[in-house]
Amino acid sequence: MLLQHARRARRLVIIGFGPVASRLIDELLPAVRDHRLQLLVIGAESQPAYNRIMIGELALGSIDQELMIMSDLQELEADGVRFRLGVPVTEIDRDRRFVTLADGDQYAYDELIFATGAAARVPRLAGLPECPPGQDPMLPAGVTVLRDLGDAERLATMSQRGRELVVLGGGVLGMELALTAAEAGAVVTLVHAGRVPMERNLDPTAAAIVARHLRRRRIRIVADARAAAVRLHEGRFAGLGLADGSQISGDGLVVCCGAAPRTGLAARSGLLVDVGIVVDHQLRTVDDATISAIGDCAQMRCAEDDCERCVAISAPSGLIGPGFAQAEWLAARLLADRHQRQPVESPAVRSPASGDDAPCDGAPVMILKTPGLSVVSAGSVDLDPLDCLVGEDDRRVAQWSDPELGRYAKMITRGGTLEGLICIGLPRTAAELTLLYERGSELPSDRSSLLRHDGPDHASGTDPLGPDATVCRCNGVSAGAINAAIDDGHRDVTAIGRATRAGTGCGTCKDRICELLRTRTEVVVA
Amino acid sequence: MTLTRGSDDAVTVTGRDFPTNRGGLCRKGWTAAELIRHPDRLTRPMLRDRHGDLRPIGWDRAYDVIVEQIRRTQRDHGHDAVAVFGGGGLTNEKAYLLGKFARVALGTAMIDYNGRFCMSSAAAAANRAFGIDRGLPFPVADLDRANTIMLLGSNVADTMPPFVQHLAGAVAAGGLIVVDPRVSATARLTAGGSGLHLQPAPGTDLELLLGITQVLFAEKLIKNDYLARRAVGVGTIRRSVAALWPERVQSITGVPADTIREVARRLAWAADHGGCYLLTGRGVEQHVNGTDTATAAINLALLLGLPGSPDSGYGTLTGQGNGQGGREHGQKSDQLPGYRKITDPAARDHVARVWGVDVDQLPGPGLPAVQLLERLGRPDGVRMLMVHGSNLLVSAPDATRLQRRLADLDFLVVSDFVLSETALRADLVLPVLQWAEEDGTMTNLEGRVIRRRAVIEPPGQAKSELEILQELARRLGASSAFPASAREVFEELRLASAGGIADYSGIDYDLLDRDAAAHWPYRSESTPRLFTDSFGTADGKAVLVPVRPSRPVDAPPSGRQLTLITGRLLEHYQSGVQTRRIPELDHAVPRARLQIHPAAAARLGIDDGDEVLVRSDRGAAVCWAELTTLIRQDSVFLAFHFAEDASANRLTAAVADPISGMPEFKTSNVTVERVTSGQSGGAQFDGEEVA
Repeated sequence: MLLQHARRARRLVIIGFGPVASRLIDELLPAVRDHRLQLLVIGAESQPAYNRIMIGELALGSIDQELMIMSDLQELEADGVRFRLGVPVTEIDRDRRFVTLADGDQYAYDELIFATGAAARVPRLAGLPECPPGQDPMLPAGVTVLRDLGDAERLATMSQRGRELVVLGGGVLGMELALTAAEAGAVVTLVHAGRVPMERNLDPTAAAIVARHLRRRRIRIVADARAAAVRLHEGRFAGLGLADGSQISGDGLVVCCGAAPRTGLAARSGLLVDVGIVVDHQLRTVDDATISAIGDCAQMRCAEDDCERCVAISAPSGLIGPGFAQAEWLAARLLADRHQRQPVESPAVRSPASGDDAPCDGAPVMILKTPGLSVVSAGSVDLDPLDCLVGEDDRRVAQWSDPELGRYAKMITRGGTLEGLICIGLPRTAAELTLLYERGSELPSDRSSLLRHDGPDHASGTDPLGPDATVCRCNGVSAGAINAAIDDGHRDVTAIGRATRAGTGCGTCKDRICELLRTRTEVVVA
Repeated sequence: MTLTRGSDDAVTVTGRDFPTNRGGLCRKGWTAAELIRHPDRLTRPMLRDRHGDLRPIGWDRAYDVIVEQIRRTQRDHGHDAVAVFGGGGLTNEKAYLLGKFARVALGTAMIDYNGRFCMSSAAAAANRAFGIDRGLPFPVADLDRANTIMLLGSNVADTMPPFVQHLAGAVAAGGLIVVDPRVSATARLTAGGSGLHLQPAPGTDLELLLGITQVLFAEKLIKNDYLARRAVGVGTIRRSVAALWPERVQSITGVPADTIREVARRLAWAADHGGCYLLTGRGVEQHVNGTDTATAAINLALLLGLPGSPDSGYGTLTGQGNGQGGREHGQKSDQLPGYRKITDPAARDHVARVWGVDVDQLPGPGLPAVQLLERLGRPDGVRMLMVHGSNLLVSAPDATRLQRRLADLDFLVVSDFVLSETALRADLVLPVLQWAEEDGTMTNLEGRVIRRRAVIEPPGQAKSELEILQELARRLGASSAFPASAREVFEELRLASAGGIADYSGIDYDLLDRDAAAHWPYRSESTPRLFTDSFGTADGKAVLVPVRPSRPVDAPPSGRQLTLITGRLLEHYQSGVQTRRIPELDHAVPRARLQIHPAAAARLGIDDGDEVLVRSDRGAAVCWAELTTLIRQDSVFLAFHFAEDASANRLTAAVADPISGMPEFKTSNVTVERVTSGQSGGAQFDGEEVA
């Protein structure tokens, strides 16, 4: 019997056990502990939820897998959460409300949540088996995407010092991977389709500054490239063939071409699927009020044609913040449903009022996660300052550009609040702009005052590039002293460390020392 | 400091060479003598008459009225209808006797104090992590040798200037790290390579600390050996920070990701190279998540292996004069002397024995300040309140609402030495002693007990609170003795604290008069350094408690809203009731000034010196704009020293940390507008009308 007496705790089934599901579980935990909620989590992977954002770092050895783990199975089980991991759901009976797993087990639900996330997208390339969007690809040796722990293991063997690594895709993930792998000593070629890297997040000036940074890090860039084929040698990656006939050889290929929502099960179950599983502003699927979807697998698209909140998406953002926000919101909604019988006991947790809608961050902030280069971008960035002076555009664009120093800022506002931004090489300004964007706060009418955060005249700062600026705080070594050491013939970080003690403390300043080495030696050579 | 009485009875102040200040005094210290003979001093008890005026009366009549009110209130509404509100500036002796008076003479559970607004979050965090709450578990002079000190939310250069000398070592080593949304005087010490200033958006300190913690794990900088030996709970911490990598924390706090990494690396390096300290202050503690934020700082310190090591550590910097001692001997709602828990049967037995009362007579735990104040004047709540050493109406949150609560009381008794804003609304005011007129002890931020000595006679009929409590207890027929001499009270406090966490049993006035360094716990000898072998928990191990970001009281500001930070100024002390009466200090900062960034001011059409109206959901305040680039563009700062329509606490919310009871003082959403010439300033905008 699937139907039981009405007063038992509601049964919630979550499909998927990624970071967003993990966050949802954490939020629901108090109700599980009080037996107000029965929670079953079904995950296709056998590991507990981990933080995908750091897969690249894991592969390249800079962090432990342990750090990525977000949930403790034993603790959650002790709290009453049940798990079925390593077994995918094969079927959903929406009429009788139960799910069937690959091993034949069946579980009834009152409410079902899709948190199936996204799968890496692999373009159609000769030599690779075809991979429909939303499904995990089967790839030959030496080729990998970057999505799960298995991918990290494959990449680790491909990117050791001195190995030649081809990175396909000039988006955020490709950029981060190229820079991190180069840092780890791999010889990296970045192949991307657009004229410039990160074409969607940057305008031409910004992209040019970023491209120069890549070249300085000895990353070879192949722009305007259309990948056509993967050349294998004895079943192993040997080179990437481009549409123009040229070949890029290497020891490994990492495909960083975005991700596609995992929607197969939802589609098979008769739920409306567009790019993702279509949900309304309450995160409910449009076909079935007992089923919701959150995170990368969901696509908010309500019945209104011109709804401003339902932004057209073509792919998951790859960012985790919006998913977390949805998880928190959905948990509050689910608990509020529960609390119709039992009032909310904690005033700290605000349950959503009936009129409230789930958060919908159409254009989240992109922060490039890589040492030595601060790049932040958000929203629409393709407008130029003069564009707004013609016609009826009520937006305003302010821009600062100093490519020589690798600095660039662009603020696109409507009614004083940010609709888009780019910020490069100005880390404090970038951090402030991020906050202003996230909060929808009004910018000062003199936008240049924001740039002062990175200026030598900032109240608590000194010129980070001036000769008096302290580079190594642990040993109090100034840029001037390091330049003097360079002039004396100390030409690498270790040598400068021996001469001045700079960089021999916590090591944070090594990047700056490298930068000084580069600039100084270029000047000297010229 | 040292007081000298001249031939003409005038008192002068000089600095005393002491480890905390090394002979230095701040402006408040140098001018402290001016209040002793101030014309505003209260010299006689005053009772409100039929016309609503306070009129002088004799002590005998004052005692009669109080006892009559207590009896009637408790007969009609029960014992808990009479409440006591103490202060962190009271001597240990007064704090101790006040707690005993409430429990024994009044039989009420309802006692708490203004330290709830000050040290409670740090105290709660330290208690759950270390099992002991002593501000600095090491002598303050230990800081001198450190090459790295991270100060979180503490502007010592303004609030405790002589302390700055202890930062000199870290400044010289480029390792002073200051976390403050304002470019405070302390933050400016980091300039020129002396360290780093992190300027997070108000209310995001917890996320910042979790982000730094994430880097420690990510870069394998945690001290596994230390943790294995000395702490429990590391695994849960690792998971709790997995979702807070630096770039994400940047978008929450406004602190660049690379700076977060740099701080983590510097701290880890310093822990291995000659000393690293983390110190928290009110800036990170006075929040609804203050306990969790202090806990995050403690977790960070434990992961770095700092607490209990010979050259490193974690501590919190005390706010009020006796902020440490004031929180140890029974003014807290859940506490008995010696930092014992009132719910612990063994603690109750011990204290009942010392007091010579039946243990069943001792009330259980009462309510922390914000909840206690919320019950004032309610039909089934507190009907009569006795206030000692606290100017509630200025220092408690949501002042407009509190003013109504106070008005709803049947009877309000305030003991003070001037007519504070709270005393002005009392039914009965009792004149009490100033510091220079009384004997007693204080306990400083390093847990060191210090003598205070009377050097001058009190003016008029002003009396020691010890004497007042003795007489009231006698008239109420209390079943235990209430000594009136500080030395006798201390002797009793020694016995009551014996065996407790804050054990004073081995200390006496003779020892203190010899200037011995007496750090508690002191049974047979002083304990300058705690935690060298074990922590105060049952198994001796520190506890890492996982914490996570929580929702703020006010949503993050959007549009034209700004975040109001409240705090202190160099020139003023606490509610300003003392310092506003000292001409030199009052002239320096005579009126409430709202610090606002010129960019924000330009957007709002505000010029330097303009009169401005600041509004929040709770109320409004009127003050004057001070344009400065030393504050974030999204924040404004208003000191809480000022009263009436300039009171910053008319804007704050009476919403408290669920663990410590600390109110949210530092992240109120406000709007700021210029008061135009047609508006007549303050009178038109008193809080009640706007709210």
